[in-house]
Amino acid sequence: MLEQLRKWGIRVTGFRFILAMSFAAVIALSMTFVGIAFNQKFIQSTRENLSSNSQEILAQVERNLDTYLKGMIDLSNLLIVDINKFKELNLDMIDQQVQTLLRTRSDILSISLFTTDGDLIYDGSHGKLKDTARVKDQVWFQEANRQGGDIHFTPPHVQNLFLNRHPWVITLSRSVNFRSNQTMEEGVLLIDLNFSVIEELLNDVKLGERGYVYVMDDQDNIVYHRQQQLIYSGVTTENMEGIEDLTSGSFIQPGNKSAERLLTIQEAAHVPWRLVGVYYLSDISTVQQDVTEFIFLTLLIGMVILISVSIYMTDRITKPIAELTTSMKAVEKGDFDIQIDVSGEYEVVQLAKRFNLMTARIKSLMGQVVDEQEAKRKSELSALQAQINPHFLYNTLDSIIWMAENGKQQEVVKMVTALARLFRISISRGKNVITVKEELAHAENYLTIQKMRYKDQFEYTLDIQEEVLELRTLKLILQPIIENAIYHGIRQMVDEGEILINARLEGDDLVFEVQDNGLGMEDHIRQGLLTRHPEDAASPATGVKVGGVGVSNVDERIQLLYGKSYGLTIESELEEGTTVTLRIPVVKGGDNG
Amino acid sequence: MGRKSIFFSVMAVLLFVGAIMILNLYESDLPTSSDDPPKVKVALIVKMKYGEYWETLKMGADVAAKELGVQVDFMAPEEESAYKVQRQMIRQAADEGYDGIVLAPSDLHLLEPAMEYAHDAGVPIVLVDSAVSNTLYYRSFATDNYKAGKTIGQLVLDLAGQEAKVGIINFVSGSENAIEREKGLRDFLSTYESVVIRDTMYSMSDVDLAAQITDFMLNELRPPDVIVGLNAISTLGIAQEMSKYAEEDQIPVIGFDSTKQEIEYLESGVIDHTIVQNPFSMGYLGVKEVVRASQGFSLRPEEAKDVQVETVIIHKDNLYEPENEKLVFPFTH
Repeated sequence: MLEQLRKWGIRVTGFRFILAMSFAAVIALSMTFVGIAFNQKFIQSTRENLSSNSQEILAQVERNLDTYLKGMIDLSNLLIVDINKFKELNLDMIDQQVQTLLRTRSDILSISLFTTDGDLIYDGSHGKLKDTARVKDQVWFQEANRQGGDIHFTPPHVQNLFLNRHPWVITLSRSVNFRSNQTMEEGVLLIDLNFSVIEELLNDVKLGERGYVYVMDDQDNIVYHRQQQLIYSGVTTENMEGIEDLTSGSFIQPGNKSAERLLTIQEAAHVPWRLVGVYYLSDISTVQQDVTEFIFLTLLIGMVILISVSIYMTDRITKPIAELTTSMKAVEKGDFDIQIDVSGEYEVVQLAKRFNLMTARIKSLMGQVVDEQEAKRKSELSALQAQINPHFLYNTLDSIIWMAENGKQQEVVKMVTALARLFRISISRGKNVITVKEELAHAENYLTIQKMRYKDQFEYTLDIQEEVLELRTLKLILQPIIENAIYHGIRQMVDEGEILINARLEGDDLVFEVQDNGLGMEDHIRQGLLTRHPEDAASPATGVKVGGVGVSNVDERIQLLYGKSYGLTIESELEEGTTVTLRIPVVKGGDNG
Repeated sequence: MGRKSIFFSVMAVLLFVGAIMILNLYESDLPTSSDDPPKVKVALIVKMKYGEYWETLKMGADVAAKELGVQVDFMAPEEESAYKVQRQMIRQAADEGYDGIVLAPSDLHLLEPAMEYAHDAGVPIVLVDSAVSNTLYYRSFATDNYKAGKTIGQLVLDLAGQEAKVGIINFVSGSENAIEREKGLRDFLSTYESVVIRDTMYSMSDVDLAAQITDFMLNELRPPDVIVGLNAISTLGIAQEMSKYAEEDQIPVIGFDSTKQEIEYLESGVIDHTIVQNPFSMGYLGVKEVVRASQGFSLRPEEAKDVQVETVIIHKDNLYEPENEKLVFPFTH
């Protein structure tokens, strides 16, 4: 996984990663905490509110039912007033009143008046009493008579008094007094109500998704239930466990998870009825689930937003640092020209400024170092050039003395002339670089001197391309090679030696070749020739003896001036001779001193 | 800095607006989601278009439909013995994409091809009221007609004694219910050798024909001393004819079902006893079960495939007892 992250350019130990991750972790943790806390609180308070809510709802339903029944009682009071208003019972007046009521009130099915013997005096619907109707046996009739003036509501029943009418009703009955034939008589007033109003009152009650309200009377009969017919048909039953003696309050009726219900009971005021509110607890859990889902969806969105913002912020903070790191790497690789864009927050600006200052400083220091190196190199070069002179001068002057002693005037003149020229070129007004022509002249003067010293023990030939003469070269590079050829190649030879000097163009290079037909040298000597001997450099006088100080000196100087790709190569074969090749770049005209 | 902060603000605002929109979507989703699934459609095919019995059954079906939020379409032939029409209705319901069929079969055998057709189309059938000879249905809620017949047999003995001469008016000769009821009655009475049972006559579910048959029976040389009507219409015809006679000339009548008119005759004493079925429950349970079947549920081991719906004997004196009252007079809100 770490590997994968690294592939995407994310460093697990990186500032950006750590910052973004900690932001995300803090956000996720706090959001989750808030979500859980919210949810817990919600669940807790819904549970707490549920029973009080149910009770409130039920109390409201009870008030509505009460108002309705009270209205019915008031209505019966009005009728009673009408009934005993006149000296003689005026059925026409009552009928007028009743007909209006029956027309306007769809919940009133019938209004009738009976004598205490159960004989029908009046029926608003003009129904015919069945022959078989036993009015005196009816509960409502007995109750009205017994209670004397008190109002009685029956549980729902089929009204079976009238022919061809079998409606389900709730019957209001009360005893009344009326005057008939100048005597005060007692009777029973009957009002049959259908369920439409009660149904309306109760059906609209919302107790969760599945909850409902039902009504029961003091005999535990169901007065109203939304599934009344199903209960009557025995298809379903209502679990009334636990409510037997309760008149108010609420409790949880145990059951399996989906059947666990909160029952709330409320007693009605005008009738011995009880309202029972049923709340399925699983309904709250659906609501709870909805809320929980909602809370967590909200939090998830919030988290996504906050985390993206935090990643953006982290990027903003860490980007300059990442840029700084990249720049730092460039500096590490030697690019001191890099300059960072100085913008953004205060700290970043400061950092960038300091960085820019630092690289600038390093750059100037580096320049200084290069200059110093250059100076050092130059002084080294001069020192190396200076090595040649004393040793050779001594030998030559020795030869001149010897020739002068022997009266060889001509030779002395020739040699001194050659020496003078040699020195003139050698000094060449302090310049390091001279023309090839001058360098060849120098070599030739040297050869002249040596040839005289060695009594024509060797011959030399110069084979020079015309084009190279005006090119520039480091001075005093041929002389040490020739010196080497004479001392190591030709001096010990029995036969006459031969030195061939060759200068030519080879591609972009200028090549000198010094070839002799001397003894040649063994491999380790050949390799030793090019090995530097810094300790000897300090004492150039001993250089010849060791052999090769001069040669390595040339190689070193060429490389100091022209670079590592130039320098000497030596090929040698015993008894055959040695060829030394010098390779330098073609440099035209101008003064490179 | 300037450009970046503008970009940042725009991004934040966009994210915020997006979040609000998602939340709103989620909220507005809640109420609509319940309307999304297409309504389950149930075909309720009964034996006859008219009759209180079927109306009550339909009432039960409607209550279940309301409770479950499904659509119930009522279909029935004009006449009770029209099994061909029923056959066609079953096929049609299967073709029209109904999710289930509640069927009150009008024939024991002859509906099998149509039921097979519906079965092959994956439309479950729940039987109500009567049985069929095949097993191509999910569940059945029917009156135990054989048992009801036996109950009538016992009533005959109670009313007319062991020397009874019994007249039977049945309704349709091919009907399984008719066969079963009569069989129960005959089987019960066959153990009493002195009981005489007249040849059964058929009313073809016509009140007038039943009345004529009654008239014919009563005017025979040796008239029966108890008459049994094996369905509501036959019973009504008998009662109609019997009510023409003075009370002392009337002979006991045992009927079936509890239509309003039958109740009137029961209250006035023309009908002595009637066997009351429970069509409301059948309708309710039929729809409920067929919806369950259409949702791919199968019966649990403790659930019987064929459920017998109990009958109750009703007479004048127990008619208004609370339990019976509820059965006889379907409660309508």
